[in-house]
Amino acid sequence: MNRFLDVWRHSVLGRHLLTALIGLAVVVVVLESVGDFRALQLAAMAYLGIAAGGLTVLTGINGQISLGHGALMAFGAYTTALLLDDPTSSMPISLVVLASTAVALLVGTAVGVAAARLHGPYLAGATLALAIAVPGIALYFGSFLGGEQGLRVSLPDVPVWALDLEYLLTGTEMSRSQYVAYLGWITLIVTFVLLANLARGRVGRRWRAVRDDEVSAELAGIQLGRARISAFMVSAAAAGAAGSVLAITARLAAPSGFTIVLSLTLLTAVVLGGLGYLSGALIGAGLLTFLPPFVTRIGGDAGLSDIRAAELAPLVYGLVMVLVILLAPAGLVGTTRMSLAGRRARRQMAAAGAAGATTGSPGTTAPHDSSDEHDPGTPQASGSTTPKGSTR
Amino acid sequence: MSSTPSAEGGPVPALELSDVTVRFGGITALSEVGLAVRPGSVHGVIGPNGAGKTTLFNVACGFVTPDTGRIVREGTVLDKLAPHQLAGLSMARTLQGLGLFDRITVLDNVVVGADRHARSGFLGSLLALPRAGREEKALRERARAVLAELHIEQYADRYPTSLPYPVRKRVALARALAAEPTLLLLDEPASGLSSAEMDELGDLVTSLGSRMSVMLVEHHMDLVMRVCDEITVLDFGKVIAHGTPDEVRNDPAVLAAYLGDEVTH
Ligand SMILES: Nc1ncnc2c1ncn2[C@@H]1O[C@H](COP(=O)(O)OP(=O)(O)O)[C@@H](O)[C@H]1O
Ligand SMILES: [Mg+2]
Repeated sequence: MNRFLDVWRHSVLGRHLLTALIGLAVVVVVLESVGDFRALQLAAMAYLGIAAGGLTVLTGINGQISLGHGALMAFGAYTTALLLDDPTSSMPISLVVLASTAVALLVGTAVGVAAARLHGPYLAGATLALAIAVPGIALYFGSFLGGEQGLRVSLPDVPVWALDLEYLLTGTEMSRSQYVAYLGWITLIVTFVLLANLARGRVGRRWRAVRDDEVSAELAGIQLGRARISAFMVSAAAAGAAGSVLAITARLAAPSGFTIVLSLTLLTAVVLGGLGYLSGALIGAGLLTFLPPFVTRIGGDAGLSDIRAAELAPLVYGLVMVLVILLAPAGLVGTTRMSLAGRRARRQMAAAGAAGATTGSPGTTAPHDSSDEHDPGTPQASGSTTPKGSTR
Repeated sequence: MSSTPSAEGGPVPALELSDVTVRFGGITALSEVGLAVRPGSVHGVIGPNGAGKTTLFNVACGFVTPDTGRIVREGTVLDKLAPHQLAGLSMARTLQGLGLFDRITVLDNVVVGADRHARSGFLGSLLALPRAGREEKALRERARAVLAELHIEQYADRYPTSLPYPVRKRVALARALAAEPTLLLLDEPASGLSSAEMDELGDLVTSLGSRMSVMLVEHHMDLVMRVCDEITVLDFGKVIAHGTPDEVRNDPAVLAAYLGDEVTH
């Protein structure tokens, strides 16, 4: 039994699946102990988390920026709305989510191919165009896509097996909100396992290499365009799944839900949590979901009028953002991980230094560095300190 | 790509450049340059700053398409060479400006160098298939072995920007060696090193010569003279001399080209 566990702990897949199982257990415990209102909030956190996880791959790991991920979510959401429109259809909900993912993947592939040649501000501009154009599509095809009002999403009945399972486990009925939250979080867990696999594997290493130095990546045999496109495709697929969960949670797919604000919100979540860390994306999504209503309630309790209390939320939100940027420039998860790694490295170097002194061999590469604390997540650290001329 | 038999009937060169001309606007960076790297030799390319040495490497790597001329790798003509094909041709190169991946560990940097030996694809990563996992492990072991060979294994888990410059230079070299190339291009590997470190580098390059062909661009004449079997001298984009270190050392054209340069370097 112990050996069995060991094998699992030492393989990437094993570790990720164990983490997923623990995550699932936490999800069950939490969702069984909250009411409908909280369950829907948690479902919202799930779709933000899924999309932010995809964006983490693109921006944090591959170094591409996208202002169009909200628009990619729209493709997933509208696909879900259209597929669930027919009440006689018996398409399982998992297939609906998968189909929505596939549609966003298709659109993302087209955008990714076009974007692969663009960099920095140009890429931001191109994806911004996507963010602005896509809500217009819904208006243009108003008769089919519901125009300004959007499409109502009719949630199918909770499947009988889910009702039975819930009854067996807790002796209660599963509410619709609970069902939606389960759907969102199971989608999130599956997505995160796949994204984490990619990030830890050969594909993720190539993405990072392209992000850090294009010339060296090419010299190692990596095709830049291919790497960029695959990162865009993966993150677009995640956005599609997120959009599907959003449509099911909000019971609506409408253009006003997929403006540039959504895209910016996703970027904020990714930066708050820590560029490049999936756990950071989740924390960012949690903050974005729970901080504003929490602050509003505190304001209300403190005797502010409703309007004043609602105004407090963006203020506190901005404040948190500024604090994170000042105190934890690599995001919450990024900065914590880096300072732990820095401490470990310093301890190692101290030990190595002591050993070197006793054997009297200073080594060929005596360390005279002072920057253990360096921080691969921050923009400052991304530029090499050695000059890179155009003629290198 | 087509095969051409070796013209002289001697050993097929590891790399042969013939009649290469490169112009950047008004500047002629290379003018009808030809050279052949004998297999298993250390071939030096020297010349004053701006002579076109890095450009020559850029042509050999497909970063710069020459206006005329051709590149032949072990008898195969490389038309339309793209940089990402280099690894597949068993060529590796270090850059004058290091070009390390700053936000991944030293070990991962070197693993990227070894990446050409990996075969697993997207699905392998996505599902973390056992085969992909075994392959990753093998790559890491290969990378660790190269780090150990260059005596920098203690930095495996560090990030490049936290390391002193000479260590970073070794990481860049380790990354190139991890590809197990049969032709290694080194662009100014000694710049920024102390003379003791340079001596060590010289020994290393000499020992590499028994495993692969090496093309070396260097400023430091003493190092070049010590480790190279053959030297090509560039000045203003033209080959002004070619031969063994002894032949080149006493060549009047070389002395003239270097007259001012030796003082500054
Ligand atoms: N990409 C480029 N664009 C324009 N000029 C270049 C470029 N690369 C090199 N050059 C010019 O070509 C000449 C040779 O440069 P380079 O090959 O870097 O010399 P070296 O490496 O011998 O010092 C220089 O005059 C340089 O300014
Ligand atoms: Mg140069």
